[in-house]
Amino acid sequence: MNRRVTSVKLVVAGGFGVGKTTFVSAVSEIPPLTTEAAMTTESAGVDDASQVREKVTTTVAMDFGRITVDDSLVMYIFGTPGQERFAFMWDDLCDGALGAVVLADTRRLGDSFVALDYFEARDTPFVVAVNHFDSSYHYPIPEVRDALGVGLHIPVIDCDARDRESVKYALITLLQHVYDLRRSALVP
Amino acid sequence: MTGTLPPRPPGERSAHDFVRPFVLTGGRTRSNDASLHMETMVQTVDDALGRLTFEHARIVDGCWEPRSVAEVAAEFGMPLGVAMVLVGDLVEAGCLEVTQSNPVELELEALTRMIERVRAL
Repeated sequence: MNRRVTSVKLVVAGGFGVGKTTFVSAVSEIPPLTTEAAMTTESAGVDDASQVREKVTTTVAMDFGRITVDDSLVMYIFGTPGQERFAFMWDDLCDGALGAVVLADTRRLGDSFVALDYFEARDTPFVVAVNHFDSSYHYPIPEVRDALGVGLHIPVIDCDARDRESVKYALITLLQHVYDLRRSALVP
Repeated sequence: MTGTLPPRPPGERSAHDFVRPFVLTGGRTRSNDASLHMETMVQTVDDALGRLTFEHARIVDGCWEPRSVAEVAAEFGMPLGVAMVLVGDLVEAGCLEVTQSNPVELELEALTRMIERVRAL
């Protein structure tokens, strides 16, 4: 009889180049693994391969990392494919996800809206982590919250995806948020 | 004149080395088992017998320890969709066992364990 091992899935979402892979690398116990999802008919009109005879497939790479909690529980952290046109993959990716971290870059806040809208519409618990780049102006959190139109019930925090402690804090914030939501659902 | 091909430089792959994903899955794009997700944990059962294709056998041999469908895909260099279909076949055939329980029913106590684990990283 095999021992029962359960996994939970967390998702890191955000625009292209916002630091999702760096975020995953910072806490994963294994170097992030990459899996490819071959181009499907959904993107056939967009990735027009007819002009490029050698180009037979377009692949979408998804990076993910792993944290073993104990011998019966494993956490996986999946980064979403950044390009907006791969959003069709998000349903597979987010189906059954415990929660999500939306990484935002203050220089391109608009890139986060797709992810915010998506998780809000699906009732997936999420927190917003503002990833700071050396060249970006450090806006106070309340200003970022206003600009993103995120309610006070959703945690918005600063983050440095290169820093392990900072990424740990972002994950704990998400897990605590999920915990609070579930506990309040139990207590009427 | 013999029909030998010119030698190929070592390490170079030709188009003939590439197996199309739909060949591995018999044309299927979705697993028969709709309950499989990319994070679903599977493990080889002790008496996994039967005539398996090369790809199926590789997966069975690689899952003596519990691992997710996504890890199977990454390890064997196959697209996620292909891994979902093949793992679904093996679960159906009784060669792999799903060790997953429903994450929606995850208890608060498990969340506490997760928080403590991340804190201790």
